[in-house]
Amino acid sequence: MANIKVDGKLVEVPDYYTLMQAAEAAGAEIPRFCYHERLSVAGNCRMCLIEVKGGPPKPQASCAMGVKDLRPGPNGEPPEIFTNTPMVKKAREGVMEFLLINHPLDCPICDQGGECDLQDQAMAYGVDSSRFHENKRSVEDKYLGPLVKTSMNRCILCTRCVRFTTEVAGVSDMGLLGRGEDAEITSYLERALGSELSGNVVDLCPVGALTSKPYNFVARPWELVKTETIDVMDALGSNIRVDSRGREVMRVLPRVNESINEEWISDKTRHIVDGLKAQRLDRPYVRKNGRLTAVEWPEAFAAIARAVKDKDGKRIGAIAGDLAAVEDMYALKGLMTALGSGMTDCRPPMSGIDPGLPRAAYIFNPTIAGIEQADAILIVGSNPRREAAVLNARIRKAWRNKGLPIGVIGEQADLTYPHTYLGAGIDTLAEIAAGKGFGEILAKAKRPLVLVGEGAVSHAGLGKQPGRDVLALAAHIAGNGGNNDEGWNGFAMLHHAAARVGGLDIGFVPHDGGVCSADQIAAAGRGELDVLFLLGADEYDTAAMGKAFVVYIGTHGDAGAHRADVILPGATYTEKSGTYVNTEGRVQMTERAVFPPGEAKEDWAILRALSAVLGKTLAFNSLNELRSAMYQEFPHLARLDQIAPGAAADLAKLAKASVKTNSATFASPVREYYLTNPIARASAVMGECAQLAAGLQQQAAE
Amino acid sequence: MHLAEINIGQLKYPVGDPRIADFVDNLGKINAVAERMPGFVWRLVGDDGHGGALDIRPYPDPATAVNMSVWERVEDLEQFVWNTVHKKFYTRKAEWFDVMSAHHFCMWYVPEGHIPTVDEGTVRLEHLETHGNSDHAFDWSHLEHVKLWQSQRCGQAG
Repeated sequence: MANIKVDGKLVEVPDYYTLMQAAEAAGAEIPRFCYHERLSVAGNCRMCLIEVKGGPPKPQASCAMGVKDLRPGPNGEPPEIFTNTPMVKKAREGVMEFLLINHPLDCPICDQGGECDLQDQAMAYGVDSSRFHENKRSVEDKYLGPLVKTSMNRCILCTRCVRFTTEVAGVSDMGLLGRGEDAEITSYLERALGSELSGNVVDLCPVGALTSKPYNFVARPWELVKTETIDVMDALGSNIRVDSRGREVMRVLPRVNESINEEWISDKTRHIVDGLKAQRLDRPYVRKNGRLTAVEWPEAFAAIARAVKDKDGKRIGAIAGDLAAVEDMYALKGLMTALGSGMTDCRPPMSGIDPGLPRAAYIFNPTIAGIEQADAILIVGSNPRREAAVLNARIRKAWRNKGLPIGVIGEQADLTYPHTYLGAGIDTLAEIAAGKGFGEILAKAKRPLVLVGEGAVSHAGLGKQPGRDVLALAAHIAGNGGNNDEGWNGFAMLHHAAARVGGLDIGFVPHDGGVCSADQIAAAGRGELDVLFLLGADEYDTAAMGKAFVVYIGTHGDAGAHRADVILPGATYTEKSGTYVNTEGRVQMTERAVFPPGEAKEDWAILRALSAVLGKTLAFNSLNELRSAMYQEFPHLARLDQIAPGAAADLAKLAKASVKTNSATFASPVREYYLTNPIARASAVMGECAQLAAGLQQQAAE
Repeated sequence: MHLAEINIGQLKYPVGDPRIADFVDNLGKINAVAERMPGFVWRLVGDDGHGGALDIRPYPDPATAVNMSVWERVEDLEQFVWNTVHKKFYTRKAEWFDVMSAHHFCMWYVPEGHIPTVDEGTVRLEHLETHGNSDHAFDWSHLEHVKLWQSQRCGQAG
């Protein structure tokens, strides 16, 4: 720790602090454009100038000078800095004048207006006239892809975007070319940004040089109602803020949550917005003579009642999709139980996740923030860049901080950090578990992290090999023969769907004679299953459902709705308050930002109403009562933002299981990052991104 | 020793008013969450039909409602207040309760097995109001090892 006086106020701060951080610790605000706490220090905007007592007789950039760079006074007094002297004020006004020389006066037509750092600082330090009478410099706009719009005349060359893409996103797509007046930010060969995190540069840009292309001229920040909620595009549960106007979601922005997403969100999270409005199911439909016909709610319910009437529970199935909230699955499970069926499943097609295993075997035990504590990482059957882009940035951060060894088993991919490619499947995993090759590195580690993707336990790759075998090997490696640091649990299951862990938590899996989703669909194809409820389940083989009566409860006209015999329109995550459990097992809740369109209702309410028509009335009349019952049955769901940890002993037991290996290989379940769910598939912006990504991949292959 | 707490609030509207329905309707659920928390010992239960103590009004002002509970450790209470669904309602306090200028929340230690009365609670609260923090009656700021209240406490209105 070091003592330092800021504007006469003595504070004690860690000696690695910069002067800017020390000043903030003392409550003095310092304006800045280029400095960002999660990026490297550039020191090129000069807005953060301060005065240092006893230092050189010129202002100093507080972001680029450390507390320990300062000398104490002649008698050992703590060093002193000033943030509010006339010298500082004059210096900042000078910097501001320079910045504004070339900055266009187009605030009225700039999307950054109202939330622009430069605009705000100009109010504090700007002057109302310019002494510069030459022409302003003009810079050609650059193409950065379908998400980021550029207006390069506005750029003040802070290089935050360059540092973000290089350091955090791990792509070297942006750079600064030229010197002095000719300096400009550009993308490599004018190509689109090839990162799933590119949208964050819009937030980082302190001026209006980089703005959101889909949100171009759409709304002003002061018109929007802000709702703090949770994202469901992947299993991280990134914290987001949904900005809406009237009944429409206008944009999605990140919120800071150090435990999950820091302050980044992926492009899918941010730019899904148009998908929330397109292809929506806004009224019930019933299939009549092969055609889906719009009907009123009672008629749709009556059609289901006719189909379910007198059916044996064993001939009724239910599958929950990737975006279902825990409350919705809880209601559906209640209904299925009342109908006498144990045919429930929330796992993806071909999944080998064993519902008999305890919680520790299906959550990301070390936690997302814990990735930074790991000292070696083994990625098994996952492409975290596609499955959880923000988590991938966290792995990259860990690698940047300490260059830890990272091994990959499964598909070869550009993960944005160097890694050792070990092999494709389960026999490689078994070799590592036996301590060979990369296994030696892991055995020496004190905090090994074994990241197991859903692809590693999918029967699509495994064939008949039980998923439990893969988990046992992974648990064995993570357990490291008991040589790990105290309290470290490195077994990390990475799911890619927001609904998954919540569904597993409440037991939305086959029970009492029920079978898995694939077998349910096969049974339907054989005519052994009469009714199938799909709760937003679109990722399954809907063509194979034979003559079964399919009830689709969901939001978008996607695969499930096309096959359905009855469609009941539900609410998306921005339209309901729902609980989601992320891949770490952290319980979070979404908030309603807007109302569902047309006659659509919240899914739990649909199921409650339907249950009454079916004569199996569920025991709750409100979301409140539903949650009361749910909390009673699953108390950990009431502990918001907390993780009920899995028991390490369960994993130790699993690790001892004997395993036979074969040559099965792992593949990531996410083929198209931009099109993983019905909302994304309805989004034109995501479609454009997907097309572009396919093109980039092709280019890379050529 | 166990930890007892009393919390009073001035309801903006009477109990049947739809403007505080969200509060009243959720009482049962949140109280149930509290009862299932580790470290929960006791809470004040009245006869209000919502599983809470809304009918108990120890002050001359009939709008002043009260709740009391006993916990094994202060950390248990802390977990319940800020790390459960309770938080969702806690942050909305200003919608249902008027801002009070005097102390409205007070904690004190009780012997294990002791169930405090409402009178005992109001006396402790008064002690906190007149004498400030002491081991006899205190609020969150008196407990150095408890930190969540600093980051999670609701804003001005609370």
